[in-house]
Amino acid sequence: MHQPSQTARPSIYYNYQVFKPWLPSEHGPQEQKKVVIVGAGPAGMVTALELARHGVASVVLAADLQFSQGSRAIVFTRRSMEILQQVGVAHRMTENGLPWHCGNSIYRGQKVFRMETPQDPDDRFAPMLNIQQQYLEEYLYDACSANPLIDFRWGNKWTQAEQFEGGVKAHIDTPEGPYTLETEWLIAADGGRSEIRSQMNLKLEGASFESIFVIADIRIDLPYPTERLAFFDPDWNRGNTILMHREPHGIWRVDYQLPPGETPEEALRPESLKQRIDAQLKMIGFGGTPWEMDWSSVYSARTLTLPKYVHDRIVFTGDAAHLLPIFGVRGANTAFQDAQSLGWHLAYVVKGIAPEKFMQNHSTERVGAAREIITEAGKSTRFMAPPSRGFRLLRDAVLSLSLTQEFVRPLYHWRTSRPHAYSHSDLNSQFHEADTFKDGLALGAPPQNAQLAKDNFLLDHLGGGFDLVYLADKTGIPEDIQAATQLAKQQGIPFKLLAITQEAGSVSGADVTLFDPDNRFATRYGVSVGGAYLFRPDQHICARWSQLNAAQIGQSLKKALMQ
Amino acid sequence: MVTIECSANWPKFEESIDAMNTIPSLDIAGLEKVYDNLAEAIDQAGPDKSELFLVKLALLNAQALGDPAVFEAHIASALKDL
Repeated sequence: MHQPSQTARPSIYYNYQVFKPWLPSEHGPQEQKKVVIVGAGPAGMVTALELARHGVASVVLAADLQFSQGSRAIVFTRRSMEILQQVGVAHRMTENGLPWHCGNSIYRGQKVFRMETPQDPDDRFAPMLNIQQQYLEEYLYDACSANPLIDFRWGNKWTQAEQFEGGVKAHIDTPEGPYTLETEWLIAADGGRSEIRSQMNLKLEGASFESIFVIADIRIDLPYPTERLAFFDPDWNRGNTILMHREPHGIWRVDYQLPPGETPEEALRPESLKQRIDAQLKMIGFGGTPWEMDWSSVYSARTLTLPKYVHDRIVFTGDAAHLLPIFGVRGANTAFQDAQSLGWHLAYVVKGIAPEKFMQNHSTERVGAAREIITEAGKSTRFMAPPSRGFRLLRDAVLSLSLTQEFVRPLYHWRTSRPHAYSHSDLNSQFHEADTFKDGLALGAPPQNAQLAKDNFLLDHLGGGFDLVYLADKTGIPEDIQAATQLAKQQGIPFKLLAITQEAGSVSGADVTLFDPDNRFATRYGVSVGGAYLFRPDQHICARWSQLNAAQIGQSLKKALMQ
Repeated sequence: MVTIECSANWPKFEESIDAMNTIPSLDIAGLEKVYDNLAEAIDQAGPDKSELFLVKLALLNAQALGDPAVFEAHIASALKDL
């Protein structure tokens, strides 16, 4: 029998709530479900929220009775915030998180590289935001529990899956014993140590690096702004790297590499942690400043992915699908993109808008993203934790040269997680417009935001279906375009037509009119009046026109739905 | 008796002309100066640091060279007959 802990996890800044388990005896017989999601981390909950947004109900299974232990993922990218905005929790993240846009690399007490990414006025969100994962989970959970399409079950542990024609039977254990649940689709969002992955005997492909890192959260008063601090080869930990990040509530994340041969058990002994944290504080000039430990853990850098994420009716997402190195904040930030992609693909298959092979497109797109991330992350990892003598020599040579030579300093660039462009997606429609676009966004690209007015951005208005964004003037929407959009809606395609205009007043024939007095959309997207972009439900671009051709609207939607 | 054959590895006439046109080469006096300076610098760096010193030097030279393909050819040449 599954007996999750009833004791609230310890924390010096977060008050864990212990939720009541969902017990089968308190509920009636269970009919077959559309979607069961195993795992209530960021990947699982964002998938549930996206599915619900597209009108598909799901059951979320949380093995524990509380949010996860320790801060875990703490840095969230702009694109992640845009995805969280889509599922309605971004405002809670910005209320409580710490935005930042600068990073520093320090060697021998000298700042050898500083990267500043100022916030563009066209962006709603800062390049990065720091907040502990428990808060993210709390906000996502609040959104899930407020949604009638999401059936959230605390204390429900998945134990086994049996696939049958057109579905999966999930065996679930609870504090009062097991029950089974039949579902059309089972989502494995059960994390890096995915038991579903192990039981199905699926192998991850890629590389594991030997270096082990400790992450420790301490409460300390340090007068540094919220910026990334990376210390290379310090005297107290020769050859290794230390990272520091500010978190809300006076917490600092200290992340350091262990010397070869040291075991995680040795490294996590309190006296070992204390000695190293004291040494790091001394090095930055704050030796003797009082501090208190909240949580510590270890990890090693891995660049691994499953070669496909969809296995009949079982779909892997987030860390269950791939293991990515922490450098460049790629874990949760990649999971949001996975979950967003999974949400609309699966919803459209469940609702019969797209054929089942549509799920293979999800797999292809996200495996492609993981492989790109792995290539990028491999570069950072080889610099942060050199895997061989040769790489170490080169890294050390660059550290040494960087004190005086400008040209090597860009090698410190840590290649932060960025959204993958689905440039070669089968869902893209190429209408030989490439030569008529001088700039703008390419097919498959993630969206760029545009500030239309104070506190009013383009992405506030996109999502939930396909969005055709048309740059209009006072003549309104041409009749053939109105007819084509009506037809698409009649065919059951979730679709809306947004008119962007520099002139006040609503544009007739559009579902939504967006007033853009400064022409920000046209500038950012490289279009003029009569031009248009078609955004998928994940806001990636799947078609664009310098002059919208009404006949091609239906064609591009069909292509994007594999109809 | 040793016969010396014209090896395929020998640079073709056109290639060496081409190389001369793009990359300045050392004359004997210059080569001797580089030889002595590098030897003395390796001694100065000492056995523990000479490898690091040589990698730094290679990176500085590569930057001055400004051509990853030529640098790659140099790596291949230097890896031969070790």
